[in-house]
Amino acid sequence: MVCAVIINAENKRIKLCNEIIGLMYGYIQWNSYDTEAGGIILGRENLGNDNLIFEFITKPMKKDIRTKNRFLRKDSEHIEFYKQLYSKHNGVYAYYGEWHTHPEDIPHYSIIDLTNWRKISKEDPKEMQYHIIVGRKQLRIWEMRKKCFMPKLVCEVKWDEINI
Amino acid sequence: MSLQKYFKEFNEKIKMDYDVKSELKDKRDILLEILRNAEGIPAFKKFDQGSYSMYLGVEPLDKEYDIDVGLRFQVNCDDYAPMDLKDKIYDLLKDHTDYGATIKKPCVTVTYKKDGEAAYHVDLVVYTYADKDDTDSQLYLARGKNSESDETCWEKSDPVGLVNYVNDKYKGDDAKEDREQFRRIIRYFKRWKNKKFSSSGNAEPPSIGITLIAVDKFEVSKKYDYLEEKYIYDDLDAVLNFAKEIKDLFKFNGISESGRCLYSIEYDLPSELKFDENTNVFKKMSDNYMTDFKEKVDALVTDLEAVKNEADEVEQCKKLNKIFGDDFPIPEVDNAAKQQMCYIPPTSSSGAR
Ligand SMILES: [Zn+2]
Repeated sequence: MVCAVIINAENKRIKLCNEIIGLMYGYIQWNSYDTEAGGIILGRENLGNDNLIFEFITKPMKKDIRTKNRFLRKDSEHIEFYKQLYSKHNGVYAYYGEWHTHPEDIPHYSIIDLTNWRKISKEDPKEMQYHIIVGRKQLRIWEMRKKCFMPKLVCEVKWDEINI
Repeated sequence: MSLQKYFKEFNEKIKMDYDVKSELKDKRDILLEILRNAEGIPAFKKFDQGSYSMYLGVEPLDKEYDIDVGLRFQVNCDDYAPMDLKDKIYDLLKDHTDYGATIKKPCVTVTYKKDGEAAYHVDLVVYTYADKDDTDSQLYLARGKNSESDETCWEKSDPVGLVNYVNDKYKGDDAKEDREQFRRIIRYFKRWKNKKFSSSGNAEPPSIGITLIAVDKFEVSKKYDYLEEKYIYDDLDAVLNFAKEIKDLFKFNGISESGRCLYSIEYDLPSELKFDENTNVFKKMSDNYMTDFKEKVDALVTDLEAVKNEADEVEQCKKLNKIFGDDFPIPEVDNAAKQQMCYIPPTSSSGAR
């Protein structure tokens, strides 16, 4: 079991529910032959304040491309999952970003990641995205703000500190 | 903070219902008429004491509604034995309802049936004056169940002063919103108490104790919102801070024979009022009951802090529902989150290199 993580950002808090952390933990690339995994991060925003609750992620799907160093989210099931969630809950769930694994202890974003995040930031009507990379010792979260070209590291979670 | 919205809904739910209140008043008035017309009962003036008179009534969980009525008889305390008037009232009212009446230490209780169950009762409290011609003279409460007991006595009392002491806190129009938060917090506490303590014996700390601590220690939690140009009240902070105040009142009181660390709480009736000595409002609770009280308050503080640390409003409400019971609303996710656009980047390409 893992516990939920709460991030204090400017004027708001972001909660990563324990279920999504547990799911990501299951995809850590422990062995050299393990392939990257990834998906999308879905959540909601409190009515009474600006806190964000990241409640669901999608898992790698059949038609995604997974190698040791690459993850390509191509399968339409990710979008299907989101659309169903969106309509089932009267439009309160939103896409907040991408997650994927890296075969390194402390994850860093690559040039490919940066290009991808910049592209998303341009196309997404929302002001901000949060992207997660899952490493062997840590999970780290970057905030990508519209018109800012560089991601900002907002949180790092050490796996051994959230009692697996 | 729209958590406040759910606190307000909770307050509306637990607040004593107006219809019940007027039904109770009707019953009270019928009883008073009987006493007024009876022979051998001296003239008296009634006044409302207890939670209604302080605007702190809370809907009871699995127990009866009650209304406390003080009867100030215009007689000298020295001319009557403590049981004289209580016995007379009992005789007059014992056949008034199917449930009858009972003499209790502080009062005579008349119980009513509703839909075949005992649904509420009226507590009549007997007072006399030190000097019947001076209504400012010391009042005495007739305490005792029967004249044989050593405990039966005339006890110095100041019930009107007590009601005023509570109602004078946050007086006037300027203090209206502060006063409302003060009352809400006491109601939350009473509901918590009703849920967490057995009402039998003296396991449950008396409401007047909680109320008096609130009068002296409660602090309003509000913040000025410059955009809305008004104060935003924060009941979560207010109830948490008040719970901490109560927690701080407990003192270590040694170790019991079974090895339990015992704690005690003392809180005296206001010294400026005209009560007997040794007026600790919690004095009826045993060491073990006081220690139970402490442990429950400790847990309350911990649980409320967890609510404060929780980022998700729905989860906050779930936790508050566990603390205060099912009258605390839990919203659907759909109603507690903002509307979002339906957008997702069609594909995404990530890599470690
Ligand atoms: Zn990557």
